[in-house]
Amino acid sequence: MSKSTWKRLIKRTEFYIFLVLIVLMVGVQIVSKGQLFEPTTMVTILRGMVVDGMFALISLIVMISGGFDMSFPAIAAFAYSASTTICVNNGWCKTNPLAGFLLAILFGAILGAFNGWIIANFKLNTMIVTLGTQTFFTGLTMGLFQMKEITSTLPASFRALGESYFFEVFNSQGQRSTMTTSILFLVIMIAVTSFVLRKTMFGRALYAIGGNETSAERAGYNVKRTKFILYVVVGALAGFIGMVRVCLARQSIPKAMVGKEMTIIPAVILGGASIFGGEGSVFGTICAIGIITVVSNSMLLVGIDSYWQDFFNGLIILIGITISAVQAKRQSR
Amino acid sequence: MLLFMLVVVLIFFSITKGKVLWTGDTWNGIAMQFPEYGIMTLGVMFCFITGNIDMSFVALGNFATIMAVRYMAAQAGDGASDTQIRMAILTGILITLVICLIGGLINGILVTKLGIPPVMATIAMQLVWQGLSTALTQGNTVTGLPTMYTDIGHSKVFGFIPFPLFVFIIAFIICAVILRYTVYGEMIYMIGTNVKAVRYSGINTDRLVTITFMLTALISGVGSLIMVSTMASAKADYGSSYVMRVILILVLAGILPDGGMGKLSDLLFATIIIQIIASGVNMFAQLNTYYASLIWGGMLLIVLILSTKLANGIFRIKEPVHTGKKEAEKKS
Repeated sequence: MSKSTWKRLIKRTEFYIFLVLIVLMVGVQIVSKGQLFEPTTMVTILRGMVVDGMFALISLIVMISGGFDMSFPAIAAFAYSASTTICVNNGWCKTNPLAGFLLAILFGAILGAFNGWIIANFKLNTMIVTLGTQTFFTGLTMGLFQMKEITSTLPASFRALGESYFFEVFNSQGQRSTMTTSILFLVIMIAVTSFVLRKTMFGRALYAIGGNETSAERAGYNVKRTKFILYVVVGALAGFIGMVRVCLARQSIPKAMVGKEMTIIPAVILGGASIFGGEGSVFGTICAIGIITVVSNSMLLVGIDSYWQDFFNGLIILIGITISAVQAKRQSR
Repeated sequence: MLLFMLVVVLIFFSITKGKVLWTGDTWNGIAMQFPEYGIMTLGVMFCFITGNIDMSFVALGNFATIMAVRYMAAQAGDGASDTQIRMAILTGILITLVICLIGGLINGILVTKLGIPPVMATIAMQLVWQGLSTALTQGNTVTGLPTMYTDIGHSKVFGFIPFPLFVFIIAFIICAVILRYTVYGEMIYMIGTNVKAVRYSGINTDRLVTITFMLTALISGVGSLIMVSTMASAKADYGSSYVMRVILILVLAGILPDGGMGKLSDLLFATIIIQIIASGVNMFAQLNTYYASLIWGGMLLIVLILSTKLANGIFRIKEPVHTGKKEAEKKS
């Protein structure tokens, strides 16, 4: 690599996050006496990254546009609860999960449109608006519709999808883990998000709006329409991701998504996205989610009580955003 | 505007559940419940006025009270004399407040010295405090609180004012005095409006903002202490819904985290409105508590939207909400 490319590289947050990930993995590998790079651990970590990674990606695109979506867990909860309930009540999806997924995407899109309408048309703080819509949607899910937990009556195709795998691996103790097919969803979403962000006008518009909304408007971007589409897409995807989670967990629990935004959003920021918008990359986000997932999984390997998990997660995020903020300060000089 | 909403809400619940609403029990319940988060709201208000936000106050309060309850339980076990128990309680309260001050200080340093946006800094600290609390308690409830503590918490001052409400009133008065009659009070509104201008006029904004974070943590720590008395215990995940609720109340009251605005009277009205809705929903047996979330969320959204269209006067909202661009669009 030429000297100037190297210089450019080390200025980016993503470089450091990637470095942290590598160092972390090596560190855990050493301390856990070789357990991290066992096939079963790696497969479990990848499985853990599927849902969180996808949620992080949709949070990323919102953050790039300069917004905050605090309501995506509530949207997902409503979408997958409603969809699963309907499927169970009508006896659908015994063999093909498609109907369930389509329903969830539809519900997600509708709720996303609600968000999008408010945010696109009124100049309001997106965090406060989505806080309000989050409360409202949760009220819908648990209050008005009183969605119930569904475990034993879960449609067979959901269970089948969640349990399907590409291959199985064994570790040195003979324990077995499977590489779930859902990893494909994450891979596709990574590819599509990267493509949209870097190679399409829509992606450019997001960065432009996040960088400076007035300039973007003057430059000719249709800010209202872009924002509206963005939130509809985010809602639809939230519904989809929620369904994936239902399949992987083999249960539909309305309360399962509560508080998710508090863990995903800091991770996205850890990965280099700026809360003011205009910055962020898929690579950084996935690295950050990787760090979080590795930390969660390695607690037991390293011998740390699982009760300390939240604390270490918080600490890592704190260190990460400190580095990010200090770097930003240094750059602005 | 808020007075109007309060009246509407009261009328609605009077018509539908008037017999239940206007009983001593109901109002006693209301008076016992809202001070907990009402005091926390008072604390976070200072933060909002400076243009910052604090998401960590509940987790910090939980951690502080967990340490305090542990201490009190250890000191005031069986066989302790009344004076010993009293000392233990006072020390416990002191422990809570000191820990809260330290937490606020950390928040202040993160935001002012390290330049971390307050949203992120306080979300991260919330995870840290919650993590510490969970780790230390293994997720269990911390019990053993001396009965004297809960007795005081359930007592009635002057014969009819529930103790939590009394504390709220005192806190409210103190906050009003700080905001209106101190230099600090005036400064924080200025900082919230334009922090750069204040800094250039030679005022140490970093110190004031840090003090504000400490004040927020301190006041909301008092709220946590009330919560401990109600629950007769401390736990890592108590009050988890309070973060959103406090922010909801503040925004409803027109106190936005953009800074520079905040009327105490609005805060009071907003708090009572939120509580009456919660209590009112409870009176309908077929509605579960999540209906309150539905109503709160809907109300918040309506209030936010209305605040953009209404001209100044009814809502004292800062410029960013209705920009010149909108007015220019309307003319064209």
